[in-house]
This record gives sequence, structure tokens and C-alpha cells, in this order.
Amino acid sequence: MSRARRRGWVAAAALLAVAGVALVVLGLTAGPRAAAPIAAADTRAPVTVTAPPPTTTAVPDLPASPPARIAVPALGVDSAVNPVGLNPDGTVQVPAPGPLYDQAAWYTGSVTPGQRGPAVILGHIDSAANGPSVFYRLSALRPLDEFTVTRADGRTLVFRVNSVKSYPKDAFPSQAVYGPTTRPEVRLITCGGAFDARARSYVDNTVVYANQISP
Amino acid sequence: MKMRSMAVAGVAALALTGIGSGIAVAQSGPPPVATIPSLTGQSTSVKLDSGFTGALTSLDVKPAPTGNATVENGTASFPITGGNVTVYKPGEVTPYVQGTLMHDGSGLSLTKGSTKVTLENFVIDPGQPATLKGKVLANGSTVADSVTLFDLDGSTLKPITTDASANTATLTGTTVRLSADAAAALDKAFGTDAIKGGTTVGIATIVVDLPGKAASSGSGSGSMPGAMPSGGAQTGGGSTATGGVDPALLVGGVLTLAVAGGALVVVRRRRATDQG
Repeated sequence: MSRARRRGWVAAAALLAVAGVALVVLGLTAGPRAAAPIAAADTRAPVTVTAPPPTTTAVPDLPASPPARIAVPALGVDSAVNPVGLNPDGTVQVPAPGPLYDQAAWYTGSVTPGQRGPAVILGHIDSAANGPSVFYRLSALRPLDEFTVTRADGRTLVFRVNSVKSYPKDAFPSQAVYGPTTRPEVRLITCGGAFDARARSYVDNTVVYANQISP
Repeated sequence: MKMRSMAVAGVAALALTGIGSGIAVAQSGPPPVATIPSLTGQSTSVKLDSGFTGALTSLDVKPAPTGNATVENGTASFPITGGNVTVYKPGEVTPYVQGTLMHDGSGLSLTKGSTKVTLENFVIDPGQPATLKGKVLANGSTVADSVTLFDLDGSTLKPITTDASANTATLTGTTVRLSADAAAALDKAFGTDAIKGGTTVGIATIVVDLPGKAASSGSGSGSMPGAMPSGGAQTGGGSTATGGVDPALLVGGVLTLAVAGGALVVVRRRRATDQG
């Protein structure tokens, strides 16, 4: 083999090596990403906050008072609740980057907790760069888990989880989540599912359905 | 050498086909025919089996409803207070009825002499195995907060029916049997061995309110006072999203590196041969 031909082969091999390294890097980073799986035993005992458990779920309708704080013992969450409204496109606002980003938020167009209807409380699953946020583990809630919402008037209400659902954002069941209810309920909402890097958005929402059981 | 070169090129081409290929998206299961994420009312009723009630009578054990439960015409009824239910087409998903049905504030007491055993706050899980759990009290003291009281046999379940005028859905036909643990506990409480696990208690009928049922009393309509948001919520930035591995690209890269390394080895050997 002549020296020139050998150099040609070496150059070709080097190009292949560069291409291989590029493929490996792409292979390790360019695949689909998803919300971190939450290790939660389906069989764990419910985490309750009522002692003793309620003997009835019939609760009185309360006058309006916005939520000030939410505590979810099963998730280790204890957060202030701040008001949010609607975006110009009709979607619900979420906590903006800044000091309130990692706190829960209540949609002011929904009822206040304790009133008949669904009170909507949202929280981020994570931020763009700073890791988990207030509802990072929301999907780990299970039916029968309980959490509390303290209102601005000082009343602390207990809610019990009925179900935890995941919906594609492009097929979000607005009526089921936001539609009327016959009793005071709460919807806890965050993101989940695959992460669309181009849209910089998760493709699903996790929704927790709960109803007031006390006082 | 030509054959080897062709082989190297072939492997490289094979490896490079990884470019642009993605991972097959995991296929989700069949869609449910009905989902109620937040049950609001109606009841679970059990048409009590004469064999079960007869056995209790022969043991001088008297059943009675507690709290919001009722027993009328041989049927015990327990109001549903929460939970969720999802129904699939039979045969597509097993079990085809899934969810949790909560019955707070109601139950059944069994009394013999001065001994009173109360079973209450029933929770039905139609999973596999389908069970009914509940709280157990003996003479008013809590024995257990959540134990399996009844085993539920869904093989006798009939297809779900709906009543549009009443805005309800009905599931009937589940056979309710006393669990072995519950039978042993009752035997111990009442000083007998006549109560057997597996005894048929009755046939259950579950009636649930469908979503959207209007409020019938009290203040407020139950609707949002403001505008209903459109679509979902943008509640994440992606910093905790995991994964990102594309197996096809990764394999392609590794194979390409192997081919490049192989080519270099061949060149070095040929050079050594030429120099020798």
C-alpha cells in the first residue's frame, strides 16, 4: 500500500471516528425525555390528616375566601398559594419565573375552596433549569390520601383524593376537570408525560381530583 | 483487502442507518368506554343471601345498619361518598371495571349478646383480586382501620347500564363473599366456628352519579364563577425530565467507532507488512 493511499485510509477512519463520536453524543442526548418517574407504591397506606376519620363527607357550603396555603403530607408539600388568572389565549396562568415560581397558585376564576364547585390549584412540576418544583411528586398521590387547604379567613379544610389522572394537553378534558360539581372539590394540576424539547413543554397534565371531607 | 474494505463500508452503512430513526412510542392500552374521576354519590347495595342471613340467625347474631346505611327488604345499602371508576370494554382490559369506591359514614353491625362488631367506611377496589376493605370496631373500639372484609367476584358482573334521565350508571351482579380473615375474626368475636370464609353474602348493585349532575340544594351552582380555562396548564420547564437516550443513534455511533477502529488496525497492519 502506498503512503498516499494509507493516508487516505487513515483520514477516512478519522472521519468515521468523528461521526461515531457525534452519533454517540446524539444518542445519549437527542432521544425523548419524560417527567421523572415517581416511585410510589400502589399498596402504601393512605396518608391522612383527619383524626379520627370523618364519619360523613357532607360538608357545609362556605362563603368565599381565597386559599392561602396548601399542605400535602403524602408529598411533603407545604406551600403558600398565590392567585393567577387567565392568559390572553384563554389558558390558565401559571406561576411566573421569580420568587413565587415554586409556590402553588389558585385560579381566581374558580370557586374558593369550601364552595360548591372545583377550586383549581396549580403548581409547577419543575423549572427550566433549577430542578423540582412544588408539585414535582403530584403523580404519587393515591385515592384516600388527604391534604389541607387553609383559606385567608383562617379556616383549614381537609380534602380527600378521589383519583389521579394524566391527560394529553392537546386532548385536555376541560369539562371533567373544570366543570360543575355538586359539592366542594379541588383540582390539583401540574405537568407530566414526555417533554417536548422544541416546545419546551411537557405534553401531559397530571390532575388530582379531590373533595372536601372536613370540617 | 478489497473484500475487507467492502465489509467495513457495509457495516458503516448499516451503522449510519441509525441516524434519523427514533424510538417507537409506547402504545397505550385500549381507551375506556367511561371514566368518572370523582364519584359524588348514589350507593352500593347488597341483596343479602338467605344462606348468610340464615347462618347469622342460627347463631343468634343480629345484623343492623350503622350511620347512613339502610337495610330494607333484605337489601343493605351504603351511600357512595367518593372515589373513581373506569370501565373498559369487557375482554379488552382485565378487570374491565377499575377504580376505588368510598363509603364513609356507613356500615353494618353484627350483635350477639353484649358483643357488637361494627364494619364501616367500606372501600371497594374492583382490581385483582377485587376486595371490599373496611374499618372494624369491637364494642366501639377500633380493631383495625382497613382490613379485607369481603372478596368480590366480578365474573358474574353484568354490562354497565346508564339511565340518562337520572344521570346514573349501574353495575350489577358482583358476588360478595365473606373473606377468610373476616370470618375468622367474627368466629373469634362470637365464640363460634360456624362462620366460614367464602360464604356468599349477597349480590351487589352499584349505582353512581354521572359527572355534570346539577346541584340540587344549597347555595351556589357548582360552576366556576369565572371563565373556564381552555386546555391544560404549562406547569413545567423540563429540568427534571429524564431519558434522552436514542438507542438507534447510540448503537449506530458505537458501530461506526468500531468500524473506524477496525480500519485503522487494518492500515497499521498493512503498513507493518509493507515495511517488513
